[in-house]
Amino acid sequence: MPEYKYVGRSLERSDARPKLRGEALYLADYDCEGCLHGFTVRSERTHAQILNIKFDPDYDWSPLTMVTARDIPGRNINPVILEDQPFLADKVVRFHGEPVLLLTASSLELCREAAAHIEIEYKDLPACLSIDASLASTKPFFGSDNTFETLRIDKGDVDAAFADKQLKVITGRYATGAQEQLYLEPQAVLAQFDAEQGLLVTGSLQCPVYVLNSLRSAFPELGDRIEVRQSVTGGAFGGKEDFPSLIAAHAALLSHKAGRPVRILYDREEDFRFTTKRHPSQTSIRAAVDPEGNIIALDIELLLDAGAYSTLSQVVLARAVLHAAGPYHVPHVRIVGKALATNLPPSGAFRGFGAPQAIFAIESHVNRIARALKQEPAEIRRRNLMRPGETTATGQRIRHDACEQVLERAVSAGGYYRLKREDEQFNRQHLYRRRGTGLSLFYHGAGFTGSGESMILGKALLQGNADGTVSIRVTSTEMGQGAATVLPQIAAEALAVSPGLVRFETPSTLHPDSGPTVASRTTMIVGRLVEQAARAIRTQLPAYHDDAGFREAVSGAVAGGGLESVGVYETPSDLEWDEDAFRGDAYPDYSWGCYLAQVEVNLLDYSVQVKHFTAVQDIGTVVNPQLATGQVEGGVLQGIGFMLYEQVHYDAGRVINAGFTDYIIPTLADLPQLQVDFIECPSDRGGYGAKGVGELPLDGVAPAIAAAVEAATGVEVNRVPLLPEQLMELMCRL
Amino acid sequence: MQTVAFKVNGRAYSVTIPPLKRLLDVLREDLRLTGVKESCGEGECGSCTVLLDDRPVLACLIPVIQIGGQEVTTIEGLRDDPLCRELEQALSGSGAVQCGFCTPGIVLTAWAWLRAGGGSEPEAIKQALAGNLCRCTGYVKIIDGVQLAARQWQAQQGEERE
Repeated sequence: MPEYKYVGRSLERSDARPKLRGEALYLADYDCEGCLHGFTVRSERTHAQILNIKFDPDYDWSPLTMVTARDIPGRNINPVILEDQPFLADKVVRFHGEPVLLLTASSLELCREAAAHIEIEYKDLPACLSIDASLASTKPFFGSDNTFETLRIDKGDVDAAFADKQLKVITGRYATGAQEQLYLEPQAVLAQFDAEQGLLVTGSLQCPVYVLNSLRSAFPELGDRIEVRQSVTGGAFGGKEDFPSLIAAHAALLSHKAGRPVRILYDREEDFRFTTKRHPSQTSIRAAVDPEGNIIALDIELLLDAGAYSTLSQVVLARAVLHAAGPYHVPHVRIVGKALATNLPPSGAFRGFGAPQAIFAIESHVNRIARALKQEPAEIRRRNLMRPGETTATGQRIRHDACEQVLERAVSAGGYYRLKREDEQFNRQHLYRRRGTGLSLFYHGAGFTGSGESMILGKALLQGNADGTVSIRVTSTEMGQGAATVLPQIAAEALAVSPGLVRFETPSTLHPDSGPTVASRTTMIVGRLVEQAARAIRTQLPAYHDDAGFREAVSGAVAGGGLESVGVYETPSDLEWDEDAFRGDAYPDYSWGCYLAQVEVNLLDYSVQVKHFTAVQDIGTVVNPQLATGQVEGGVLQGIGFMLYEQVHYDAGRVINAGFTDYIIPTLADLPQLQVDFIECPSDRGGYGAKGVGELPLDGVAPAIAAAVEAATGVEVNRVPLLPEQLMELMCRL
Repeated sequence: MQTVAFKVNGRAYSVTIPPLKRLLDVLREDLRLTGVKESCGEGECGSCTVLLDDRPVLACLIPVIQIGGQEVTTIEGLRDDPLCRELEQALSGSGAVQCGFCTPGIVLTAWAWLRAGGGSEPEAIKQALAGNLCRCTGYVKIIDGVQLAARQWQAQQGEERE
């Protein structure tokens, strides 16, 4: 590895002190004198026609401004991919809680009071509340068959492989549930419309340009007079990827009509009930395996519950099918994926983005194969894992031996075989407590799926300032993950100056579009753009030898006409992706992980506690070890929640456990002994060799824990989450 | 409406206010102390932690009428406090901050714990902070940070006694 000055160092976060001192201003903290409060009137039905909206004629409506679908100057379409979702329901509502009209007034209390004087008359329509119901529906509400998207991957000759009588066929079905992102800061947005100046929207969000696109759809006449800025964002995890576009438009519509700034702040219940969640999934797998344990063929069907509107489901499905065969070299693969419409609130982005669902299924199935062949789970993975030169289901050639390295490191450093021996001993000695250890092996495609990066062509601007510092101007956002620290760190390395001389400017749509802050792409892809721009800046300056010299050179260049450089994404010449055939290089590169979990099951109350967890991963060059470790630790805890605690309960399409009291996320008491380890296989496609880290940690947690529970109890765990009542049911059937 | 007298960050207030107004709203809206955050609004997450006579409480659960005659401390009131500076330094250096929304509540809970003589033993720190939820960090670095602050603080106190 090359020697770096700043890359590879745990530089302190630039935003930690203001957050620790309570000085960081989140959107709800803004002094908003003169602002109006925005309020959403929502559908009380799961699927219905709107017949009439009646406003109490005796109520004094004068202090309020109201917006319905008819008040939208442009298109009533929130453009994500398919353009099926309206900003406000017009003739029909497709889920309980769908926005129907908007109110604004000087106080939220007034809005709530007024909302009680609005009566919406409905005619109910049949509702589909599950994947199975959507498939079985004779009256689809989307297209001819309630399917937002179907994707298919074909490799080799699957049918011929299954016809081979020498091979053993092993089948399984797996399901995962919805999961709420539960960022601690609820959704928040402020819209300031001014007839002269145009529209400024500020919000807690991941993707300023997505929001801009929605605002352009609602306000075509504003043209370039729209700016979207990010406020300090209190967590996102995908939950602020597509959703803020909707409420930004709501606030803007209210501000446009009322002529005053309007702020919409969701409270926790509203946020929980009506924002997007992780797609529930159902996966069926058939595997053909030879007597030694080589997986010869996989036939996989993966179904996602997309909810009432498509949002990002097509891309979530793409990532799901591209991870469905796992990190294994399998000669014959068929994967068919569908994203299905149901009358539940729309599913959306959540860290992992389809991969955790797919990886849970394939990893659980590999364990099933191991049991059927009486092989050790680590051994069967060793036999089938992808080695350099071997190809994924889409035919992408793997370039590193990272998969093998992470497995070997997890097994040795995590003490896999020792833990298993200790479990046996423990289980002989204890009457009602059982321990088990399991592992998972997985990859996460780093960067956008398919030709996504080539379509976005991300750009990063570096600009000199008169005071001798340089500023990074991008649309990539800081949402807690550390972009505002890591991107300057990369620039500082390329410029050979202290990171303190590089400023990360508040992300805005006035900056060049570096793409959305999603898909674990920021350090890798945007980091590389920043690296390029910084190197170019360096060539524009006279030679300097220290920070003082740099400042002088920058100030001089700025005084002499300006100093700036834009890094622009260039598609690596050897990346090839065929979108129609779904073949080729599905991702610029891959991060790899092998996770090991030891659990203890209490047979009296069926509670499961994770005792020990080892997370080994290759994320390429680790630019900031402390931040990267923090990503892994946070992702592992969210994964523990996904597997063991977090279940969204619906009653006829209504979320009924909408808060922290009834939806349980991991606390400090649930923290296992947690060991994080990195292997570094740098990628030539990422900033200083970095690959993605944000999502990977959530992918492998559920299957490792499920395997550990299986080892402890002997039951087959084929669903996420596994709450005590569900484990009890499985064990009673044993 | 009712008049309630109390202290916040050392300053005396007497406010005429709906008696059931949440302390959280009084602090954020009336006194503009926005370091206290609202996340769950039902006493589960700890983001709205403030100190009432130096003990951590959840401001979203307390009607303002209950705090008459007592002293409230928010994160703003501890900015110059030496123990709080120690915590800031340690938590920042340990990587305990990500999105930051839970952070003021964590600092206040940890401050009260250390102030009351809590030590640097990780299991005890976990117990003390178990009511403060964080969705970003996985907690490891929060424990590291509080542990580091505890050691530094104990060392300083020791020196002062000598």
